[in-house]
Amino acid sequence: MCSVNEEEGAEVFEVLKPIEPLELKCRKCLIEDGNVVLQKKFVYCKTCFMSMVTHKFRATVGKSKLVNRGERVLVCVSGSQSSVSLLHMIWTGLQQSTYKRLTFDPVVLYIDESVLYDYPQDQVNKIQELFEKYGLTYRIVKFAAAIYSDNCLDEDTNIDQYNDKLQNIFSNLSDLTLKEDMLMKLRKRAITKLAELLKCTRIMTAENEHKLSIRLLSNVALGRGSQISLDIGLAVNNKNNDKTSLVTIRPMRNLSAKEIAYYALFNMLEDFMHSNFLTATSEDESIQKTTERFVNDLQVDFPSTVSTIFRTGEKISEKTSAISYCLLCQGIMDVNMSPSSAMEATKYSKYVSLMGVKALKLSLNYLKNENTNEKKCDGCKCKDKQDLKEEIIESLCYACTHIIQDLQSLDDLPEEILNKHKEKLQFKKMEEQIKDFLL
Amino acid sequence: MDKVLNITTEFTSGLQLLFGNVKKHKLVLPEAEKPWTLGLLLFWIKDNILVDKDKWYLFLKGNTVRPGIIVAVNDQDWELLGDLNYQIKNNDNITFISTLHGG
Repeated sequence: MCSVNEEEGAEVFEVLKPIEPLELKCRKCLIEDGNVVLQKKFVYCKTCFMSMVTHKFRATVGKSKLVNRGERVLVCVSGSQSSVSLLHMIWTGLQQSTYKRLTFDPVVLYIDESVLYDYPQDQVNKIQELFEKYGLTYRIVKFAAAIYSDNCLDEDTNIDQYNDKLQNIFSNLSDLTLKEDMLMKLRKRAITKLAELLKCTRIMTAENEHKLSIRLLSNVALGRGSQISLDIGLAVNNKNNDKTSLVTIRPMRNLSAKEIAYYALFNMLEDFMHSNFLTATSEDESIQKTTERFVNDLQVDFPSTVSTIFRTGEKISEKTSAISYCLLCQGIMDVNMSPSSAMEATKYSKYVSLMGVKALKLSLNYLKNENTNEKKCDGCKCKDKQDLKEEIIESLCYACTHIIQDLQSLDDLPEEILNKHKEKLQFKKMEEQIKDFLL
Repeated sequence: MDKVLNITTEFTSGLQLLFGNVKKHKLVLPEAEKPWTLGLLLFWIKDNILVDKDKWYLFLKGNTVRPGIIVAVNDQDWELLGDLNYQIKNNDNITFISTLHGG
């Protein structure tokens, strides 16, 4: 029976996959020969392709209606192909005749992450050259300075010390998944901070559809499900007030990776090396890379994979009644969940796997106490440290606790996080003290 | 097809990492019995100009490029030209663009 079915299946499969010769003419103007094939069936010539891509970009910016005339917008350029294309699109938009012109005031930002990887030495200079060529206001800031220093726009004498701190954090994290996750969060932190310092109220980043759908899926796998809309949405409000808050806009989110690759190729845009911890690593070593392979492999045979994932993800919206935010990633935290929630289930399953049969006999709370008792050792400082870690973990979201747990010391974290944490603790204490007086 | 072929290959968007950080390569393909196709070129690249030989799997998968790498010949999509079966001509400019995260 089975084998018969299989054969039939194979036959059906073959019928479904006829190799139709592609149209050679552009589907839009029907005159020029095609240059690009999108989704394996749409053929475009150079001219029509360019106007299509530009139109998509302008539509995404325009649809949001979030950028006002003369507003300062921080344009984040990492040197990757996407971001170089974003810069080019914005620049082209600014040159247009009056009625099509982009009217905001862009400030281009490059965060120099050369501490973390070995880039070619002249990379920063080359990027500076590129920015000069465009003639827009630009800033180049070192990653470490952006995270630790208060006045990171000026030259800082402590930069070596900051660099060490940053390197420490990442060398402490053993897991590639966590490393990359931490990098993303710190980068986001740095960008937000710089935007405030540069008095920008809007941030533009260059993630494309492809990257965002991979991020969507890996966010789910990492336990960041509740933060999906923050990480992939077009406009993300940091605070509740629309006028004064920082809003992140991702104007490339409707463009596929291939569209951007060809945009860069046709405009002869040169991209720069932009590594991260996953560059040239094997696909099985991290959740993010595995997700990427999954999406890419599917995409080969089913060209609408990415857009399907992306459109589905778009429909996920943020919880509006968020009470607390994670200290590290500023994402929404799941607090006061019902006992039957996924969160509690994960917690319980963790305890059971840690304690084995014992867990069945003891209650959860009791276990918690025992756990902390075991970790304490007398007469040395490590007790305090352990306590601090556990306290901090309480004000982090599920995914961020994994990062902090893997870190050996918290000394290298940005001071803001630690300070905020202290504030929070004091607040809690105060609440406890006046609890009896409250009606 | 009885002469050597002069072509240019370009590796961008992170792929240059595998080729000693050099983006543009001018290549001379030796005379061969069979006509040079893109499919043959891929393996010739792997054997001859790939610098980081241990990491060839970041470039190829099966008998074609890794999913996520885009190939263009003279600014034209290789899907229009018959993919691996495209016959390489003299002075072709072949571009490999990675769209993978971080290269």
